[in-house]
Amino acid sequence: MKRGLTLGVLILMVFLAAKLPDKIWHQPQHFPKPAFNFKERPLEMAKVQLGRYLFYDPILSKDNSISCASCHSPYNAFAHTDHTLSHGINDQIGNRNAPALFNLAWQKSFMWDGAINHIEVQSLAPITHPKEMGENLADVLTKLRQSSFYKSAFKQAFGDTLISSAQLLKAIAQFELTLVSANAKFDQVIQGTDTFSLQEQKGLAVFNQYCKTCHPAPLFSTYEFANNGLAPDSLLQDVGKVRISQLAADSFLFKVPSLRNLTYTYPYMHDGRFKKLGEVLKHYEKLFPLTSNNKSDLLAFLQTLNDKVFVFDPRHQFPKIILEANEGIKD
Amino acid sequence: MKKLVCIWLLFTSASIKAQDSLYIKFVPIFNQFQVEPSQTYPYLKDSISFQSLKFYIGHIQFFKGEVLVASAPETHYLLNFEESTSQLIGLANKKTFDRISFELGVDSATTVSGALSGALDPSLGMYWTWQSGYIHAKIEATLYSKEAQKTELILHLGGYKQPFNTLQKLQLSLVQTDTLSIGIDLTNLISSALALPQNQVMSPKPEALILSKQLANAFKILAK
Ligand code: HEC
Ligand code: HEC
Repeated sequence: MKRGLTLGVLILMVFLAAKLPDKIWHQPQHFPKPAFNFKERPLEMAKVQLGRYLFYDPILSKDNSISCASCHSPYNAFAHTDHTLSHGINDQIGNRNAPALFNLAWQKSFMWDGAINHIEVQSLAPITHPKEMGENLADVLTKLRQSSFYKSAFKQAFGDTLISSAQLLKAIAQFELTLVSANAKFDQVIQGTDTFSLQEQKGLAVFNQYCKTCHPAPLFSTYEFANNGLAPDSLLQDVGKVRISQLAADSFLFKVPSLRNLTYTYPYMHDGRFKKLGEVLKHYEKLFPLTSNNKSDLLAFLQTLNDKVFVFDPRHQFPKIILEANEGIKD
Repeated sequence: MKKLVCIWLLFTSASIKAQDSLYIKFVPIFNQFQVEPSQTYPYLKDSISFQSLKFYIGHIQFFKGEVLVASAPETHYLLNFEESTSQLIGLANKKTFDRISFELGVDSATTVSGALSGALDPSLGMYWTWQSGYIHAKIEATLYSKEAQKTELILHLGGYKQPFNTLQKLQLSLVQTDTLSIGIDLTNLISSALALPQNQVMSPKPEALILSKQLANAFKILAK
């Protein structure tokens, strides 16, 4: 009887171990509960990997020239730094600055104006945008179905070779959800494994006084919409959230960006108007009485939000395997 | 021109036996004509043709009095009148009922649940990509006028958030028959849309709300 029980427990343990995914995602202890429902849609390694291939593969664009990573580079915390505005197929310039991608699991809506309500449907926007990847979903699926590499990657991830749009979208989302930035000096201080310098401490105090309401720790954003006093750009005429909601009260509201990884994610703001953090603080001088000491302390504190471990994490980088996979594809 | 000829839509698989099945057919109508693709229909002094007619029908339920007696097997069906003319919508177990209710469009709970498949596959041309949300109803038509230039009418009616949640809930009382014919009389909707300063409505906004309500009123049980 007892032996039977032990055996049962053993079998159960083996079973659980087999079920347990590799540690693809874990909840940082000092983070709030994510907005994404991982219970309902657990991450699976094969799907995450497929998503990573797709994220880096220009096969998603009309002329096979632009991948998601063209605008969201891992070394820039998945933002884009060459241009203030995004840069798509046929050298077309878009209307907005490509945001950094991390901690997406905590966001309730996506895009600077909150146009997208779920991470799984976000990729539809760049894939079909004429100035981004300029493709249509049906053609992307046709290309993927012709690739033996993707046939087997989809089979591994989803158990069939259907290659449906839902599978494509879910896989990309699964990869993006693994992009968690929770390893900056700030995080170490919270966890008690590091300490702030005096200047960083002073910077934190300034931050708490003026910035915390919209950019609260540990995500450094409410991910709500706000107006931080930027003058509207006369050329782009970007009105922000009102474009989506059609409510006058939402005019010139933009999603509050996180302040993690700022060293990597320049230029700043929805239109990339500031190249340097100094310019950003100069802007905030108009709203808050920031002395020059305040500003240098603040800059020192913001540096503690840079997460090198995340930015150089090899698990998020270019998967060389797709080079072989695409040998057959001509532009 | 032809009288109302059936356009059949598929509800369930072929396994349904004909005798205990219920079929629903939706029939688009304009100015008393049944609408068929690429045909031209008279409208006042002008003429009109329809390029696209697609509707989402969701959560179809059958009632006897206040009691829910049956629901359609799928949550959503995409009616596409650009395509085939030979599909059926059917319910396996025929129950007695005197009322049918359904939604015109895709409800907000469904709209916020990520990438979906089947009738809700976003590649079916009924999903806005630049912002989240399904197009509940797509009506594209061209008005040919002798005096003026031709007018392109493009109605992509959708919206899942207040105050522009354009989903419509419909209830139709009826006398039970083996085949329920539901007409969609577009005449009033088209004249309202042509009267708008802009003949293109392609995002959730007040015009979309007004036209969606009008479209809901266009659904009528057709006499046998
Ligand atoms: C041509 C450049 C470009 C390409 C290619 C591109 N993006 Fe983006 N991405 C942007 C821009 C610009 C925005 C902001 C758009 C807006 O706010 O309207 C954005 C926004 C996003 C967001 C929302 C982030 C947030 O914080 O709200 C995600 C997620 C994203 N992109 C993922 C992807 C994926 C996945 C792909 C590939 C399928 C991709 N992008 C391809 C430029 C690009
Ligand atoms: C009222 C809310 C609010 C407050 C307070 C606020 N911000 Fe912001 N912040 C925003 C919004 C909204 C944006 C994006 C604006 C845009 O692009 O139009 C932003 C953007 C930024 C950016 C650019 C980030 C990027 O990736 O583009 C930085 C840096 C920044 N804020 C730092 C600060 C600092 C430092 C303070 C305190 C001195 C502060 N913010 C106070 C709302 C706020």
